[in-house]
Amino acid sequence: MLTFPSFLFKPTSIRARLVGAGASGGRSMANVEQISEASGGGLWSITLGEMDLWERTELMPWRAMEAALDNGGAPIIVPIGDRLHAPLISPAPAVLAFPDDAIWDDTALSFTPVEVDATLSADAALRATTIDFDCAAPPVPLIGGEYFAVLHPVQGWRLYLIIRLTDNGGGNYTAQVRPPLREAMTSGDALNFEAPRLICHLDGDPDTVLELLKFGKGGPISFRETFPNLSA
Amino acid sequence: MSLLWPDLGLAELQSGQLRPGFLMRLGTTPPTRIWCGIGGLTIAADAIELDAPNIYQGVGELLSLPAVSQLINGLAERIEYQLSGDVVTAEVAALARSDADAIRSASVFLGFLIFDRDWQIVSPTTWLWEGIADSLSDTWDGTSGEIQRSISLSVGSVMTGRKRPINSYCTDADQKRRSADDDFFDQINKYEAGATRAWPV
Repeated sequence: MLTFPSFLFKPTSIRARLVGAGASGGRSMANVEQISEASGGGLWSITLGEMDLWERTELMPWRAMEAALDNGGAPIIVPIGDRLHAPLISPAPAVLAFPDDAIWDDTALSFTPVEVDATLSADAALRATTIDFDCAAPPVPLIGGEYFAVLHPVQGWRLYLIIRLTDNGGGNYTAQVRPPLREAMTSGDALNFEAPRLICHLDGDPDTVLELLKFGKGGPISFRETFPNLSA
Repeated sequence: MSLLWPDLGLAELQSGQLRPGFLMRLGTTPPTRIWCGIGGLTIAADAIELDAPNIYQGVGELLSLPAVSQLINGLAERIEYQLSGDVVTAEVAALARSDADAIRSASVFLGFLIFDRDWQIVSPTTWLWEGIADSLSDTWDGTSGEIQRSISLSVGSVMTGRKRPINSYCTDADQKRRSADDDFFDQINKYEAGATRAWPV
């Protein structure tokens, strides 16, 4: 599977936000405005900042990845890479197997927890926004605002953000999440807090200066959440 | 209680933040179900969706939602649903590959429901408009510098196929068509503007 190797390209910034479809009917004479949001929860948009591609081992994979994206026609797994704020012992990337330094990574389609073992403690329906999960002794206490990803059987890797967290004690938590679950989940499903990621496609043209010199600059580059399997 | 909307969802409609969901159900075999939001959506059974649960697919396929009118007194209208865009989903692709007859005359329902602040459905689905599908058209537009593709579904209301009667005249020929042995108008060709007939003769 085509993946974006964050630790190889080292983007200067990573921004993930939910893009909705807000509309307004205008402001009344009393300056009152009604906002309408018809997206059903929004779609993830990921923007990665400028990257210095100094070495051949960095520039060549970027060139290959850019072509492999097929102008947005190919899906790509994009890791969020929010390691400074993830509940990990250390933000250093050495402890994780993913993301690898290759743009083709078959291990990206699986996940084995190393430091944060979190699993769903109760079934959750499609489009649920409240979930219960167990996470015994995370290295850093969970406080809300954490990203996590779920590998759904049909929809693949989907990214979620905890907007409100309740510690029920005994390692059990209740979390309100956004966006609503893309697929129903069952008790025992794993939540990936260590290396959250999602399936995207290229959004627009990347601003890339790759000349036939020793080095170049890649990005910024934007991705948007995509749904390769749309019939489930 | 509102005449149009059920009580459930009225609080959201009256608030400053509204979370609507618009659904389109095309009565093909199997039915094509899409909605304006992102991801799958399951709705409860009702008079239109008899066999629940049914999942409406949403990846932004509804590019535009046409304005619809409350049709009375035999009025008819035709609307265009613009589906898909650069991404042709499995549902729309299957629709485009279907026989024309499978699409033509298929029922089309436009529905509306409301979510609460946690994106959970709080209202039953209100089916706003019913029509009959006609045809799919595929257009490609490269005038803006990049190719924009759209698939449009033409849908007519129930009265779209209503026939208008042809004009009829008070002539002997027209009357004979209506009633073959009726000579009521057989002298009509002797009359002209300004003509005078004395009576009694």
